[in-house]
Amino acid sequence: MAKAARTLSADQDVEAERLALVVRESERNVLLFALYHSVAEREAAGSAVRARVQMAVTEFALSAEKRNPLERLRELPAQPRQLVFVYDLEDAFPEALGYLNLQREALLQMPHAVIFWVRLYGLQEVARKAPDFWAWRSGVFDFRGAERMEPAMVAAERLSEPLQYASRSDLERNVSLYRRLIAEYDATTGPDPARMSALQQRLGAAHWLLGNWQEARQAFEYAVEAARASGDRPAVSASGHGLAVVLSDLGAYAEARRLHEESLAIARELGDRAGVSKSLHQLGMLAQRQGDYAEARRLYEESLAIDRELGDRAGVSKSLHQLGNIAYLQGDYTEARRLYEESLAIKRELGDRAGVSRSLHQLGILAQDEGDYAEARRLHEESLNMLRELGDRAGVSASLHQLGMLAQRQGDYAEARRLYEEGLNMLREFGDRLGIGRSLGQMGRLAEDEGDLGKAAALYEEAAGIFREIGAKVELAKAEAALERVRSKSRE
Amino acid sequence: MDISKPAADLGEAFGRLDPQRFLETPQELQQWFCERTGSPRAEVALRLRNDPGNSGKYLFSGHRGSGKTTELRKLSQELGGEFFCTHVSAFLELDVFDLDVGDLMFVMVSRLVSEGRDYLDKDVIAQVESLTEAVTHEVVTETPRGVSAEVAVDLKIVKVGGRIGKEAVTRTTVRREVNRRLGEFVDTGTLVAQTIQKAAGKPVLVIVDDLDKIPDLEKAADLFFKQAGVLLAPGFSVIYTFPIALRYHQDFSQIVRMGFSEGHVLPNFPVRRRDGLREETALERMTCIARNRKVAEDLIPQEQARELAWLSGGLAREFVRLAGSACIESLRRGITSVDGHAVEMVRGKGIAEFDVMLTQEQRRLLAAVHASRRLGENDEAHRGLLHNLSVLEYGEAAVRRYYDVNPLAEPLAEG
Repeated sequence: MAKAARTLSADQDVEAERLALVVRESERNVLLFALYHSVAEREAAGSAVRARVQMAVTEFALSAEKRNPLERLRELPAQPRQLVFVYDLEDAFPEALGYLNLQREALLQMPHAVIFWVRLYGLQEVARKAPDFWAWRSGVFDFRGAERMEPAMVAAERLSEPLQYASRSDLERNVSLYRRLIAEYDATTGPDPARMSALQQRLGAAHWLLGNWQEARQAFEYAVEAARASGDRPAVSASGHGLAVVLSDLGAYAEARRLHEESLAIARELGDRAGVSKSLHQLGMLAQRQGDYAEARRLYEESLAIDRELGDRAGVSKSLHQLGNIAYLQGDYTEARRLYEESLAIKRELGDRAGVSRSLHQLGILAQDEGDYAEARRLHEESLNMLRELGDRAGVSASLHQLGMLAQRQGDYAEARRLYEEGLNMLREFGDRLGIGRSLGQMGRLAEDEGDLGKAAALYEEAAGIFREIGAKVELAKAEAALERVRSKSRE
Repeated sequence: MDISKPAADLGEAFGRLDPQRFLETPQELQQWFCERTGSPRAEVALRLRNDPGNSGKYLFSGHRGSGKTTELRKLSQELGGEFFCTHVSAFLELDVFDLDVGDLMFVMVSRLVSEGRDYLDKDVIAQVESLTEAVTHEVVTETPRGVSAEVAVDLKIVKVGGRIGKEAVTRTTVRREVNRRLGEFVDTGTLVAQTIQKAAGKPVLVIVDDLDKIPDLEKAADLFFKQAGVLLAPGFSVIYTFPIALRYHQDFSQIVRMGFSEGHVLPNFPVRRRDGLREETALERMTCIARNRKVAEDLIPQEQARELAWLSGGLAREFVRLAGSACIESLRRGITSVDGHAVEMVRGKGIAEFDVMLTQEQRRLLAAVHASRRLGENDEAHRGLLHNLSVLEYGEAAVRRYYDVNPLAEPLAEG
């Protein structure tokens, strides 16, 4: 009989104990394999191991795009020693086998304990096709239970819990979890499209939070498709909302607006006040990105009123933050600070660390604009540290950008360039075109300050091209004005 | 970890039984090294010492995990006073996915120049640099940003040699040019070795490790059989590690006739006799792997150590891994010494791991090997059994060689 409860059998529990002991007792690198049938077993076993080891755990998933586990392992600091969970090795075959077999000596340089969570097929492939790597294993731990957990029940159970994360590792695990759960659920007889849509939305959200925007877009597109197939209107609204958020980040504003408006109409039709508020908020963000501040303010205020009425404190804090942004963009710093601080207080109360870091970031920008550089640096660094802990790459790149601007203003051009380049590399990695344009524009400004007008013009032109393409009117106007300025300086 | 002190408990014992750890330091080689009967080390050393031309070429092989790297390090340590020994790892310095004889020659000469630089006079260095300039011109002028800064050496050959394994562009460019002037390159390597020998007063020995790990046996065959002339050409002694499966290749006897010394095989500990039964002396001897690591009988009693040696099939690394697992199982159960239950658990897990790996066809072949103690056909299927260690080779010389199934794979043989 199928069971849904995520508990381990006595045998599985012993395996978890053995595995944890190997990790705890070894002082150097150990390579371990953990064998599982279903993702629910893997989750339960992973939790049991995590609870038994007294060390930090980093988790990441491989995929057809990210095939080299060693590349990910090399990103980890050498100290302190960590336990590393590697998921979905099978998705990175066959290249991953070659990397492991032939670059395995690189693993010896690391002190970490690495567990590859694999299914039977994955373990067979490693044993047969990466024999030298296989020969270095310190153990294989079998978590395959006699009773299979029904994917539909596992999916229902997972969906009944909110998507929570405290770190990048959590998100990586969630990406793997939902990807695998979708595959397992899809293989059952007659999967429910509404439930499938919900799973794809979870996957999309995890990808989006990781900054994997193309993967997020794909997951949300599947979610919309499944929701439409099910005829489930709330699912169409929710999945369309998610897709629109990603499209907006990717600069596809027209398509994002169409989807948000559709979500808004459905939410109104269903009397879903929370849904209405969310759509209004996102439409406000779109208007803001396109420079229509009056419309943005109207939409945020409408959203805020609904959130207050519903007692949605998180929603209130977000709307206040966005209203603060509009005040800032319109030069009303006093009002902006008031709104940011009100938002910050609510986020602290709710324990919303990502939100807190965003408020600190904006308050840092205010301090910077007001010339209080010491306070600005303090706020940006506090925000940056928090974002690094959370593994929020988009946020980290924004913080680096701001710290770069601060260095530039203080005349430390080399440091400014280093920070911009670090941030720009991250932005390029996850394809944030608006961010890339802004970063290029700022690097143009740096070149201009250094007197390299040719380089400045080239950077402004590149930035303007991106803003033009994504329809970012305000940024485009700024880039074009800067371009005109350097051209005029060059003529002189 | 103070390796001269006995392990205090099973946790410490586990720390010393790490299958990934090579014996590297002189102290480790001194204290942990475990002598086995039939090691070809003494014979290779004897041949090296008695080679008047100091330019012999030796093929050294053994099963994965049999202890080749350790044995070669021990040999190097023993010959250190008489030879100028240098090691090249095909893993670390070449790309074994994409290996060519030109790459290998370049890296060998590069390593000799790097380690023997103090013995080289200006004229020799100038000659090496001039040839390197000629073969690497394109690579050096196209160095990507930051690469040269990573290499804190001034000689071009050493800089480029350090990049051969890591950069495909460097490799392709160097390979094309080196192969065009391969003879000249080998001669320059010989000149470098002779200069070192003259100045240091010791002949040169280069040990090329990890060549046995070239994943594609066809490529390995191309290197050893089609390029044998080049591998034999350097005027200094070289030990090449060699894939054990190629010893059964039809061209093997031909390259031995060309000038390689007879293949030297590091045998597994002969824990199984020709009649399939346990060889108690070898089991006893193998337990020294644990004892030399100061894991005493109060932690792993001799009876259990011998059983673990049996389960390892005579492979040193397997013994280390299995003994480590037995320590963990005992720790889990809160006992202070490995008992029969822990060894039984290790046995069960070992069988399960082979169960994952073996195909139905392989299970049938295993039964035939076990019945005959012979490898059977010299084909890919049988060589695959040696490759995945389900079949092991025992015996010190070709004439006394025999095969049997790994004790952990034996219950899976389907007759």
